[in-house]
Amino acid sequence: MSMLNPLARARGHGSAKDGVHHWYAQRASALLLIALLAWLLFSALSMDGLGYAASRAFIANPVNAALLSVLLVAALYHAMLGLQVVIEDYVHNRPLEIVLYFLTRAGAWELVSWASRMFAAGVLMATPVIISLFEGQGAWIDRGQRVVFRVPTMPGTEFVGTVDRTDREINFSTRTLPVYAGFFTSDPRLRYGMLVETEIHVSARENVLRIPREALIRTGAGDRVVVAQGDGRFQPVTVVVGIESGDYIEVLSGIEEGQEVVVSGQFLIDSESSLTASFRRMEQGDGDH
Amino acid sequence: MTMKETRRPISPFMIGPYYKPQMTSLMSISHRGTGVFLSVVGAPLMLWWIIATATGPDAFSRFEAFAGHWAGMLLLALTVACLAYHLLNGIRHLVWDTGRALDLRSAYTGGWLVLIGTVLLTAVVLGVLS
Repeated sequence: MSMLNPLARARGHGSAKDGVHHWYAQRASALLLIALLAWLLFSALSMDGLGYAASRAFIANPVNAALLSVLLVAALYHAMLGLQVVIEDYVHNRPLEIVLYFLTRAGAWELVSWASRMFAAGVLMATPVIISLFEGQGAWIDRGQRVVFRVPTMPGTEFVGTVDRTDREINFSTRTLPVYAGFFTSDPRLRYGMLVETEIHVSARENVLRIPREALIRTGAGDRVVVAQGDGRFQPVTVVVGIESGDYIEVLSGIEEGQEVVVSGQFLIDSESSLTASFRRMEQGDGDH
Repeated sequence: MTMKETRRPISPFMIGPYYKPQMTSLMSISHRGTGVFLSVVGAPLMLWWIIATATGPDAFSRFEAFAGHWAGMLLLALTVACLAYHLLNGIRHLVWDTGRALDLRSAYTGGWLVLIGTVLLTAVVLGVLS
């Protein structure tokens, strides 16, 4: 049985279009999409949340980036082929059909090329910045944290990027920890080797007990604060401190919320109380004999 | 032979006046409907997510703000539901393309499987997203 219409059979030509290719391409891309969507779903399930840091780490992985690119191209190709069929079947106005057909083709093509350019610029070709931190500050830093960059020679300009990774090793000669960050820009004024001011936005910590920095007495034997006990009495207390931020220091243990600490002149009280304690010990020593 | 101009009914205006709506025909047109929705809404949303992640934290927070808004949530939920349906019904179509399960009974069994699977898959994915 011939599937050709009588005129085509008389002329000896087949179909003027590439229907079989379209049919196969639609199904091949469908099979690819089934596999890739299953991969994406299981990846999302195993990801550490869907926030910025986790998403960024996910797409920065080269294997994931490659698979995601294939998924994107396959999805847009499949969409283009499907929209073409819908337009052919349901749009019965020939000029409109042709316009929509070309819009679909151009749209899919433009989206693919635009997306791949953005993806490459953001993930593969981000402007790299190396930040040197004191080794003690390294514990604050985590992948995905927001970083604001300011270039002294370009006043008023800010770039926003991300912490991508930190080195496992402290630089031996500078005693600093290199932190690698990057941001997306096409600003031609930026040059490699420029010095920039950076501001890393570490995640905020809730319910932190903090004291003013000047209240802390740092000694070789440990950190102390002087607690006011009322009625002009003071007591030096050993504390364990955490991180510093601005003019404040986190206190992990030693004092409780609501206690008053001395922020000025505490060195005098501390040394005075050490003397008093020594005298008391001496007195007790006398009594025992 | 003179060609007489006839005004035949043309798709998709067959369901209703000419054919009784049936599960098979309604699921067929839904496959196309969800496909168009995914092309016009779903694909741009996915592109937005990827580009925002690639661009930086501020672009990503704009996407998150959209995803947290009720209209954004609705569009995302619809996209997930359409994707689940189009994916599962697409597998049903691929099985048909191999020449299997073409009888009426299998068409209805497969149809119900797709509908139940769509509800389950949508619930799972929305549970992961939220």
